[in-house]
Amino acid sequence: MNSPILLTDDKHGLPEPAVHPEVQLAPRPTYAMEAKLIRVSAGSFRFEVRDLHFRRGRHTAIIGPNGAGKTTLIEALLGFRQAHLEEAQILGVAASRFLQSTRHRKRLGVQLQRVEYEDSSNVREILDLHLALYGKQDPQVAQALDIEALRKLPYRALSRGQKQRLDLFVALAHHPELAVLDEPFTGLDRAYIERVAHLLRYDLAGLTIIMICHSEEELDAASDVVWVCNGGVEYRGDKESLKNRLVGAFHAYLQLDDVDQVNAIYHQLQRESATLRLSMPSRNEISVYGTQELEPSIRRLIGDVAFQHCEFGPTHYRDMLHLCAQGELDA
Amino acid sequence: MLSVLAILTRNELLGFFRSKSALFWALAFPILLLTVMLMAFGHRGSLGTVKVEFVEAGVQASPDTNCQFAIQQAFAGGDPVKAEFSTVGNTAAIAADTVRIVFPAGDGPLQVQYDFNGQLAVRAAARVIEIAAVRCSAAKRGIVSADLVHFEDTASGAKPFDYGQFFTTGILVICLMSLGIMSTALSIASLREHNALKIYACFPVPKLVFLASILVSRVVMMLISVGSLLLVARFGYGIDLSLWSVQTLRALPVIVLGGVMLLCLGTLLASRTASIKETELLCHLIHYPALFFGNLTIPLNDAPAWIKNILSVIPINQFVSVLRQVMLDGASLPSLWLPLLTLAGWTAFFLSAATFMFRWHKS
Repeated sequence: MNSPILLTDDKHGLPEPAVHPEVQLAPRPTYAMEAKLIRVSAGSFRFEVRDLHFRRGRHTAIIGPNGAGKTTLIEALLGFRQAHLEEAQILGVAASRFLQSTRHRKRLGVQLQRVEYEDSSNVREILDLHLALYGKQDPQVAQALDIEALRKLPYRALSRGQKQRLDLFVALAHHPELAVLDEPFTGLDRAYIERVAHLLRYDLAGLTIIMICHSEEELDAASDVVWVCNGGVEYRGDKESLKNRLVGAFHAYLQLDDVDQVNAIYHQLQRESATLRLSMPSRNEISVYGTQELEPSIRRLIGDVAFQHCEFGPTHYRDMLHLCAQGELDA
Repeated sequence: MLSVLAILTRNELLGFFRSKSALFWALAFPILLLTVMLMAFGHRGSLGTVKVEFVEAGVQASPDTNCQFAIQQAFAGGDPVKAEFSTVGNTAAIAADTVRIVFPAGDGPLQVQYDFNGQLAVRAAARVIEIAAVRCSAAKRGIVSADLVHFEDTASGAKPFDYGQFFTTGILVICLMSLGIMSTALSIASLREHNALKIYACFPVPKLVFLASILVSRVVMMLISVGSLLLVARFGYGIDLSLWSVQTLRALPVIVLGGVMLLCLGTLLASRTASIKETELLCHLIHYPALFFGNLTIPLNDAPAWIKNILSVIPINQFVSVLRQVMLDGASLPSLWLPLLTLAGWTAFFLSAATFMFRWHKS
């Protein structure tokens, strides 16, 4: 646990983001956010992670079960939570100095959960403030989030989804060098999930984005993953590698009435080298994840045994997300 | 950064004008409070109004019109108590707020009937009637009261106590306290509790600009609130306040200084609090003692000297004292340099402490 994993897979690297003129003088840091040590302690909750880094120009998803420390990790790095930080840096600047400097904060965009502006405020006023602060608002972001439709509304009249659109606009419209998003799709309806997913994947592909993820759509927009679990970070690296490690490429679900036969198949699959993850959701059900080499074995089984019900096919990121959200680790 | 300050200030002001509760507390409540206080205590140095009843001519033995007139004249100034006169049959029961006068049949004494343990105003009215009757009786015997007792005006220059002026200035400070301490602190605490200050912390807006926008916008709100209160007091209730004068112009910087001091105190109270409840508790700890001991609407004339001395160094008491001296007594600002300097000192202290202690979020 917490062993450093060096990120070497750059083949999916996205185009470099535009560099702010004032940071061109310094050598460009490899990581958008990094820390040698992050230690948070609050009551019975303990969270510690060593050698954490988020690559520049990548979209990194932070995943894990509820209460594992995903928000804690982000809040500690942004200075919202008391934490022991060693060598923490944001965009190449010491985190504490970065957060105290308005010049540096201009390079940041943040969307958090449960943010409520004053009820008596108006969307137009929040947008005006954003423009005055950053001097620019990307029309593509405004269009994707349909901000003009919200402009004249009083803040208290906004629905959960409309507030989320406004929060995302405030975080992304100025094209920050680093955007930190906490569950960016929460509250959005289907249409806006697709629009925001497209925005993140294509229009804002060059930005460094760190986002806490709970949905498959959010995870789809990411290239890297940080898996927070058991009071620390279980994995950091590219998304595909974690998927291959946890759920492989092939999944099968088998159901039989005969419990003895179920146990026999379970033990047979346990011996298969291609099996990565094997479980029995109930006495007569088997769920198995494995490499592509598992497929012929499953096909043979289906030919030999009259299953009551069976499903098989390629694995998806949602399988990985589901497992990560359960906090399992036996890979 | 000026444009950011301007937008933050404008947003705060627009929010104020949209918020019904903010408008009620800043504009309607002070006027409501003034109305209630004036109804309870009257305007000018008066203990209130008492009903004075003369017994009907047919019932009483010999109506003494001279004395009746003298008694009515004694209340003409309304000082220290006002009277409403009427004539009744002597069999009617006497109400708690009433003094009844029965003239004697022959040389008997004038009867003044009232509740000896009743209201202060009733007891005072009975004494005023006693003096008028004695004078009247003396005059009948050819004695001029001025030959027996001579009153001399030692004119100290102090204006007579006027409840209307006292309440208006006191409520003005209450109104500034409400906007400066309660509203400011709760507004900041609400932003913090609802995570909005975390977003502000990530915005490229300096802490000082954010705090300055709160100060500037609320000073404007305070001036609107004070203006409406003074206009209603002067033109609605006829309280003796010279609004269009140098005196009021001199009071303006005192109001602004006091208002800013209260705003800085409000910001200081909310500088680190984690929740609205915690902030409310802190505000109430300041607000309610100030209401009772601030000499705002409850005169503390009878308080022991040592308590008066302690209270006189409290910033809110100093503020209302300076304000009354400038606005009501016509004192010049240079003559009040020491209390004004003290107020400025408190303001600087609260501002520095608020700026130093202020945190966007709990950690």
